[in-house]
Parts: sequence; C-alpha cells; structure tokens
Amino acid sequence: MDKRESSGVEHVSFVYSSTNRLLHWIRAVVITGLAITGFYIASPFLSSGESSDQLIYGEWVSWHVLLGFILISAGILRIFLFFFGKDSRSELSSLKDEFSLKSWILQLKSYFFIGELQKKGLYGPLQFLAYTVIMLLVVLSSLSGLILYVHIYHQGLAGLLYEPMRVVEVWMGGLATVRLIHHITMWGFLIFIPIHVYMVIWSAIRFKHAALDVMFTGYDYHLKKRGDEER
Amino acid sequence: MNGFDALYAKAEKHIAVLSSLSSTKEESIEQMLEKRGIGRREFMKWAAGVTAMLALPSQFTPLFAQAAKLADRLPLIWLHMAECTGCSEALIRSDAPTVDSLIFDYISLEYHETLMAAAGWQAEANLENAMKTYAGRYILLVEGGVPTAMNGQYLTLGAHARTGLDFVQEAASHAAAIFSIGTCASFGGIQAAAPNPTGAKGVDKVVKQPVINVPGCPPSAANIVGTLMHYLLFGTLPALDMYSRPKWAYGNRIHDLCERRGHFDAGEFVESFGDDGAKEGWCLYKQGCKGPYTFNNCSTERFNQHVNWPIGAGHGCMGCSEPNFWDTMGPLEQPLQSHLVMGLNSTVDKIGTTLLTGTVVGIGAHSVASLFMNNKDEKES
Repeated sequence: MDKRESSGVEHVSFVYSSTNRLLHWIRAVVITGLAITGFYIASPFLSSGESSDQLIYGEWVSWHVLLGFILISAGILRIFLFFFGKDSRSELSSLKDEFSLKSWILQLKSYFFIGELQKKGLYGPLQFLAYTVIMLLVVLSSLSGLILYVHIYHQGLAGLLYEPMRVVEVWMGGLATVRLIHHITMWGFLIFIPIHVYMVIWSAIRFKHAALDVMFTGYDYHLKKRGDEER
Repeated sequence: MNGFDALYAKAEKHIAVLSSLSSTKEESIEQMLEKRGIGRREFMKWAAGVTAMLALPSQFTPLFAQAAKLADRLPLIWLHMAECTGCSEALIRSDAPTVDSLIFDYISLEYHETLMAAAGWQAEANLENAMKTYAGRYILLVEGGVPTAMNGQYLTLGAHARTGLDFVQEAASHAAAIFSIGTCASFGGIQAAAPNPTGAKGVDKVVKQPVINVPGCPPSAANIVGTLMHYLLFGTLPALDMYSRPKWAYGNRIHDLCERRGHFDAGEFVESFGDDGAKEGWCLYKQGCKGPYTFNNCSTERFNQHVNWPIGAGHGCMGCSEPNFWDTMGPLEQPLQSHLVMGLNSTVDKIGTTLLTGTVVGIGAHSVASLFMNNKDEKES
C-alpha cells in the first residue's frame, strides 16, 4: 500500500441506479434457474413413471421458457441502459481503458499484487471484457433459446418469430447445432459465476472499497483517490 | 382471383400443356394399371391419398388423377453419384406393387443405372440421346453426393470415365427441374462427413439451377413420388423451407407428431434398451433420439407401405434428413450432450467441468496467495 491511499479519507460515489441493481439480481436468479432447468431438459433426471397425465418434462420446459423470457427482457433493458441510462457515462468511459495497453498491464499487475489499480472508467479492462462477453453470451443464449422455443410453441409470439428464427437456425448450422450452442452458453455462465463472485470479494479486500455493497446500495465507498476532487 | 382458384387454374393449365405432349408408350397409364389389376376405384383412392399428403384440398383429387394419367409425358433421367442405391431401393422395393411404384416403373424413365438393361457404351449413348431428345423437358433426379475434390476424379462413370461432377452439371443445364433424392444428393450425406476427403457436396452446391431437396436415408417412397407428382400437377416448384425441402413433407419435426411425444412431456423415458420403459413404448430421448432436431414426416408417413418406422420399432431417430447429420448429431444412440466437440474429442459437459474445476483451483490458489501477500496494512489503527 502506498502512502497516498492509506492516508486518504473514505469517499462515496454513486455507481449503479436502482434499475441496474435490480436487473443484476434478476439476471443472477434467472440464470441460476435456467441452468438448473436447462440441465434437466438436456438430461431429464426426474421421471414420474406413474402417469402420463403428469407432464413433468413439459412443466420443466415451461419454467425454463418463462425464466428465459425474463432473461431476454432483463437483457434488452440492461443493454439499453448501458448506452442510454442516466448512469451510463461511467460505464462507457471504461472503453478508454479497454483500448489502452497501459490499463491492461496495470490491471493484470494489480491482480498479482504489483501496484495499484488505476482506471479511467468504472471497470478495469479485463473486467469490462468479461462483462461484455457475458452480455454477448446472454444475447447468444437468448437467440438460440428463441429458436428452440419457436419449435415447441407455435401460436402468438412464437408464430410471429417462427420464420425469422428459422433463418437464424440455418445460419447457426441446423437445430442440433443450435441446441449445442445453447448448451455451451450455459457453461459460459457457470464458469463466470464463481470467478465473478470471487473477484468481487477479493477486490473489495485488496482495493478497500465497497465492491459488495455497490450492487445492493448503488454506492461505492472507497479510499480517496487522485481525481476525486474534480468529480 | 383467390389463392384456391389461382392454384386450381395453374394445375389446369399445366395439365393442358402435358396433354399436348406425346407419350412415348404404346399403352396409356390407365390401360397399364388395368392390366396389372388396379381398377379405377383403387386408382382414385390412391390419387385422393397423395392429394391429401401434398396438403392440397380434396377438390384437387380429380385434377391430380388426370395429371397422374399423363405421367408418361414426363421423361425422367436418374443419375447415380456417390451413393448406396438405398433411395432407389426405397422406391422400387415394396411387398406388393403400389400405384406409385407401378407408375414410376412405367413412366418414361430414360436412364437409371440400377433398372436399365443397357450397359457400357450403350448405356452412355442412351443418356446422351435422352438429354438431347428431351432437352429442356426432362426431370433430373440425382441420387448420391457429388465428389468435387481433384476436379471430381473420385467418381467417374461410363466408358469415357467422365466425372460425376461433369455429368450432373451437363444434365442440370438442360433439365426442366432438378430433384436431389436422398441426403447425399441434398447435402453430401455420409460421404461429406468430416474430414470429407472426396469433397462430396450436395447437387445444389455444384449446379447453378434451382434444386429441390428430398433428403432422408432413405427418403420414404411417398416423399419421392409426392415431390414428382407435385411437379406433374403444377409444373412449378413446391413451397420450400430454408434447406430447399418441400414444406408439405419437411415442415414439421419428427418430434412434433411422434407417437411417443406424450411420454416425452410426461418425463417417461427409456433408460436403457430393453428395460420396462422400452417395453411400454416410452420416449427414446435419453437413448439418443434426434427427433427433436429433425424435419421430416416419418412420424405420420412411416415406411414400407406405412407399416412402421424406426421410432415405432423402438429405436430413436438418427436425424438422417438434416444437413451434416453425421457430424452434428452423433453419437447415434446417445443424447446430444454426448456429442464430441470437433477437434477436442470431448463432450461439452466434460470440457465445461474441466474448465470449472480449473477455475475453482485457480481461485483457491489466488486466494491462498492473497493471504500471504497483502496483510501488512490489516491492523487496528
């Protein structure tokens, strides 16, 4: 720890709007639910075996579809807020770090206890890249999910989406490949979640800021840093 | 004019065109059927059946019967590429000759390597003669994938050892319509499976003309004849899906109309071949049935005079009418999660579990390192 930081005072900055925080927890819960129901759909581990009237598999599928539509709605809103939300300026300014080799080196070094993390925007470059990839995974899983959806529901929205989704289906290489892509996206989330939770806790300890609080309260409490005066 | 009238007028017009053409046969199709013991009643029953299969209203039945009687006006050329003749067999082998197969045998089949008597120079002369005589009028049916590697040298035919690629391209350029019969002709099939040494491709990839795909390994006789009959009736291509397959046959998934679908939704699955679930006729999803990813009408049309089909016999669908099914859907008797990721020789779940374990180990190592690295400022002040 260098002297500048240890002698600083606690400082507060507002990071996430309530909508963004809510959307984060919706995604967290929904993706967990989707992974569990999705594993069942891929390999049904429960079977009624008593009566063909209890549509166990059908019910798991309908829950999966329900959660999927929540994810799609939450995803669309979050992508909109990323670009046009009231608090999107600090997120967007992370792009400057993304394309700066210096920022990359600084962040990677800081993860191995060499030097402090200095960044212009809200996220470090590796962090920003990880979040972007996860958001792209949400888009990919939503799209492949919609293709699978239009083949089991045929009326209403599914009927409307049927023809366009068939086009995307062919781009992806047929329904079996769509199903495989959908399965792979789930593994993307499963691997991201432990890293994400660990890095949040670790960076809260390492960089002494309210990394955990920020997703509940919206405020990041951190030690005073250069540049805080100007804000 | 509404859609129905327009379609009706189109069929009438085409029948008028067909009637104006001369038949190459001495006796008419009606006489031929009569001789072989198929009366008018049976013929009309068949006509009504095919009309319904093509998803046409019943008012089209008389029109269709009229068109079927003119089937001898339509010269056919059937080419064999890299294939096993299973598609031809599916069409010509039946326990008793059906109206389909009788008409097919009788129509002006100008060239078909399995069925013709000619061989060698004579056979090739027949083909050239047919292509010249009926230029712009004949229907080209291709069975088998077309090898394209080494300029198509992996497949040569006839006394001049011309490549299959050359044959198909020439025949296609003078054809009135081109049908790819079977998965190999439609998408390359098993020959095109990775690493595809012969560069086998579907016919539509090597010719410029529009091609109708009738995939399946083999496609049911109904789908082959139905596609032909549709052309006979209208003279135009049917409504096609994204892979140029006729929608009347390939519009639904196997899964959509499967007789075991109820057991799928109820979560009743065969856990291993021969278990109690298998005896009860439960769903074969966990035994690798690819019905949910496969578009075809096997669940309603079945095979061998509608007697049975793979799922009815207790084995899952293997997705044979889908492009690249050999590569995208394997292994045959395992669900898709057992599919090996190409190049990695491992399943997605195995790779995922390995990566997840790696992640957890990495997190552990990093956190332990953190304990030793960064505690000098953690003291009460």
